[in-house]
Amino acid sequence: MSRSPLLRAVLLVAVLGAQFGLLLWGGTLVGSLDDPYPNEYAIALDYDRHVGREVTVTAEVVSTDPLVVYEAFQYKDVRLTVDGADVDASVGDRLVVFGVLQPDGRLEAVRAYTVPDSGLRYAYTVSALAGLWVLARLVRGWRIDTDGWGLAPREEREGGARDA
Amino acid sequence: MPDLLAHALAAYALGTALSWRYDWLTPAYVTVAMAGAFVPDLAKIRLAVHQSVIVEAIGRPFSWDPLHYLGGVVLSVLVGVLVVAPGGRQRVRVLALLSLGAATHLFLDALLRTPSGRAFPVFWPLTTWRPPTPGLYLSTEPWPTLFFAALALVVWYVDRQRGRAAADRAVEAVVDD
Repeated sequence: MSRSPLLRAVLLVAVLGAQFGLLLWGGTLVGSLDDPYPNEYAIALDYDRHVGREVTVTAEVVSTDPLVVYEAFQYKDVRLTVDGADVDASVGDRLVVFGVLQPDGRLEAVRAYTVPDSGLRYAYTVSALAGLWVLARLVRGWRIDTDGWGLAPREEREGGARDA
Repeated sequence: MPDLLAHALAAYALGTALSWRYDWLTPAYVTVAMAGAFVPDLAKIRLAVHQSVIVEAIGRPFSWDPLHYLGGVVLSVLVGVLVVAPGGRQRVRVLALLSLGAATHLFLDALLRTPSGRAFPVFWPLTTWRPPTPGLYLSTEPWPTLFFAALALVVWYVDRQRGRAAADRAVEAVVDD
């Protein structure tokens, strides 16, 4: 099927259209699908609305005894005293807490952990390396087939261990 | 995600190990599995073009998140299959290996530590259910990458030994003739 480049182009447009539709659909779902709990920003905007509810907070540790986290937003900020978190946090760490929001700036932790500060730069660097690795392998293993209008595997090099 | 390098190494190890069983699974097809392991992270396009930019441009709700869930991944894999030229069985093979790579990615991401103790909605749009996660690692930790690097190294070494043994047998066959 779909030996003709034209049919393939039509199918490609249809699939890309469906993908776009899915992204529109995803956008209509309230909040984020990944984390449906209110976050520190939602708490900063309207604290009272979230009291008694489960929330996910990611913020900077500004005091360890008691454990206090703080995050500033453009016009608001949020400062929470975290109770019941079993973590070994230092001032300056980023703390991730899932818990139930209490009145008077308190958060009862269910689960908490710290995120290492150096982590993000590390993740970006090695991810870029991985991208280059796979790109180089693709260029070596695949070629553009002008007859078939698409990618095709290069012929196995002579002396290859596997010649299926 | 664990970082992309962990995903690429895991797919390399799995693809290469499968090549011991399937003769058609050449290094070029192992690369396809590795590319498949990148597919769900197409959602990271948000780092370049944040979804709020799209929302403003089209005036409608929009999210990149579905690219990281089953429905979006299936459609992305189909795009990959459609850019492969017809001929032989290469499209079926690309479909299988892109899917395999993408599946390893989703599986490894479902083990990530999250604050709520639940992973992302892997099977959306079939269901919004988020499986519980054992919380094995954070995406910013290097040790999953070290683990898969070690695994990939072992697989690479075994693969090389097998290649040599096959070459030796071929030489012997020629000499015997």
